[in-house]
Amino acid sequence: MMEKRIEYNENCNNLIPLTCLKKGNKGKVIKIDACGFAVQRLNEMGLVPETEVKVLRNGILSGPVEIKVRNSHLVIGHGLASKIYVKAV
Amino acid sequence: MKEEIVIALAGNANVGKSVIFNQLTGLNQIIGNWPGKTVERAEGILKYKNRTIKIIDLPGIYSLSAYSQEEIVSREFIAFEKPDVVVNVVDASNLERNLLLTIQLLELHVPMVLALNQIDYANKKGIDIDAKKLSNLLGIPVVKTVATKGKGLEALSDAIIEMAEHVRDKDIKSYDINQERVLNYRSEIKETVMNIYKILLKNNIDIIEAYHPMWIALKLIEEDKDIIEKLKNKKGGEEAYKAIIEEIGILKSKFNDSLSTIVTSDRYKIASYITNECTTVKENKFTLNDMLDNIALDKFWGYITMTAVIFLAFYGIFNFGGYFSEILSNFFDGFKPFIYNLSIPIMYKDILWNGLIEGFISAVTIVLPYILPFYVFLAILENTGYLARIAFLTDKIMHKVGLHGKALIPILMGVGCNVPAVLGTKILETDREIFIASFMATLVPCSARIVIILGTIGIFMGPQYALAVFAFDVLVVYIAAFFANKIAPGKPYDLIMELPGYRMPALKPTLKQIWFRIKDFLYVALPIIIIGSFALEILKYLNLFKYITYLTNPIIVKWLGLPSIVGIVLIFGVLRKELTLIMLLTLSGTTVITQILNPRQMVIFGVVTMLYIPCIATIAALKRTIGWRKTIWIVFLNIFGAILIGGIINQLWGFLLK
Repeated sequence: MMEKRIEYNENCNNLIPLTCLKKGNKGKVIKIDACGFAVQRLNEMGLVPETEVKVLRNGILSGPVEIKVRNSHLVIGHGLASKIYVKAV
Repeated sequence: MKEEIVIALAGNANVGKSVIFNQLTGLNQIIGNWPGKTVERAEGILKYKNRTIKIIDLPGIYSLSAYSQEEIVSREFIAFEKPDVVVNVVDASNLERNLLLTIQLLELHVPMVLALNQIDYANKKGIDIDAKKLSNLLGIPVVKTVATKGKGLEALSDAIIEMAEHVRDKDIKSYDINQERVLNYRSEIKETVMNIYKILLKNNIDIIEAYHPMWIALKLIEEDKDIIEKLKNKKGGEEAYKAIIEEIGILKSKFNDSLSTIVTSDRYKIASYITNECTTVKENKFTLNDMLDNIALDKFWGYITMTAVIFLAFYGIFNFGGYFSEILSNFFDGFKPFIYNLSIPIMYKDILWNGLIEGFISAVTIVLPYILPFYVFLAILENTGYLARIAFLTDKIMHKVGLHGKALIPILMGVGCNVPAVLGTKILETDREIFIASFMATLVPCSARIVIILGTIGIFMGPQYALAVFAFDVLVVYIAAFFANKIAPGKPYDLIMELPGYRMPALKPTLKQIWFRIKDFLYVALPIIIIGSFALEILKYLNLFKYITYLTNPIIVKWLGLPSIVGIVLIFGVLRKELTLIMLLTLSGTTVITQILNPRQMVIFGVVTMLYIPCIATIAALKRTIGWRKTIWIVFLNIFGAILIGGIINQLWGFLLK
């Protein structure tokens, strides 16, 4: 499967994976480092660049992450969530 | 005035689209599959104000991309069947996300009506939507509805009829994206869309007869594989595509993100603008919903709650199922004398009873007692939103075998009966997941197989041995799924799931949904079950079993170390698993199993019976769920696995206990 990488001009040092955000913290989506299908799906669920997300819950033992995005609650598997890079706000 | 109006319902999952469909069509429904696809197609008729309105319920989708069968089915229906009106059902409490699909439907430039559903729920969340303003912003009629209570459905029907009567002039020859009021993308995209549009027009590609050229242009920018293929197959398409690629290349060089991300970003910008313009949020209070989730999704209490819910529900289902199954069997057995008192040769009586009626009875005694309560349970889990919570809690462990948390429920259900378990896998998203989950479900010991294990190993060797066999089976299920995950085409995807708010399921639509699912199963299963039982009965009367044992002996006797007669009873087990044990005793003329099997054979017999083939009702359910080709695969894998594992136990036993 072809990996579609999205590159950004921004300084990437302050980018952290979504899974590193603590419960209740907010972040701005900067890049999604996953395959084309997953990127498209996440885009469609509202996770496009510059979107603000809030972590509501982290599943036990690297379980899925629950976030709030555009007023809807979204659950994302841990593996995929760790490929979503955000800038903490 | 049009005689018949055709409309399509389109919308996200969990927005109450099926409820609207059920409320509008009543019992006039046909449920089947889309041609050549495993996607369910529901069609119904509404008679309203002397009109006949044919309603097609499109699958629940979030987008019109080409990544899932559901999306392709939906957009092809709209493009090629050209419904008079597309009714877009949106969740008022989650407007912004829902508008993404609305905007994509607007891109298709088809006549549309928007049903703003679950208004009550939005109000509860403190959200107020100005429908008139929304209608103005989108340029289409908007009707507020509360489908579960039947509110607003008449107004919706009126709006549909009016829209269908509306004469539209669709002059695609002089289209200009700069005239669009709603679809306001960034100027670079607009420019490229117009350039592609001109290329399409110049080359006279007839694909624009089906889809609007503006939509095609956008899809080409998004690198939609399906549309690219369709374009290339048209006369002059290859040439046009070359010119289009150049245009897209120029656009690509202007951005860092992929173009599909850019286009989706723009759509969200539009959705966000419209939502902000027409909604007022009173207060963002801590809702009951959040409180429930603090328990249901808690790292400790969440699992306790889940275990309790599943345990109680299954306990109820099995008790109800077992109880009713027996009552129904007794009831039907009461008819046996009628057949056997007929003055026809005994052979015909047997064929009539065992071959035809028994098949019907087994279908009914399985379907009614187990499937009905399970469907009720599943409908409650799904419609209240709790199923999504279970998916959250169990996602990690299911992820290891390429599934998501949702798959746990149907697989667990297999313990009662494999039939509803297999049918229940339909709640999963991709064909791949449905395949793996149904495969797992067929290996879970159903109540019939549990009886066999308990009745042989449990009684004569001790319950601890029976438990060991069950534990072994859990291992087999997990390992089988692990391999299925490896061999199934495609690759597993991480969970991306919307967590819907808790709802009170509406009674009438839920009951209708359950009824249609059961009816649908009976149509497919009854013929298969009856033909199967009939064939076996004929086999018995032609006395072909002798020859069958010749064929099965090498495996049954040599490899598995079982008595030759097991080869025959296993064939009967295909009808109903209990028959393996019953036939074994009947054919051997004893009621004591220890006279036929020693402990080693008992264990092997138990394991083989548990794994060797799904019963005929399960095969029928598999056919309904995944089609014949994959069903045959599963049957083959089960037979192969049972022989392999049974044989290994046989060899190891001899080796270890020598």
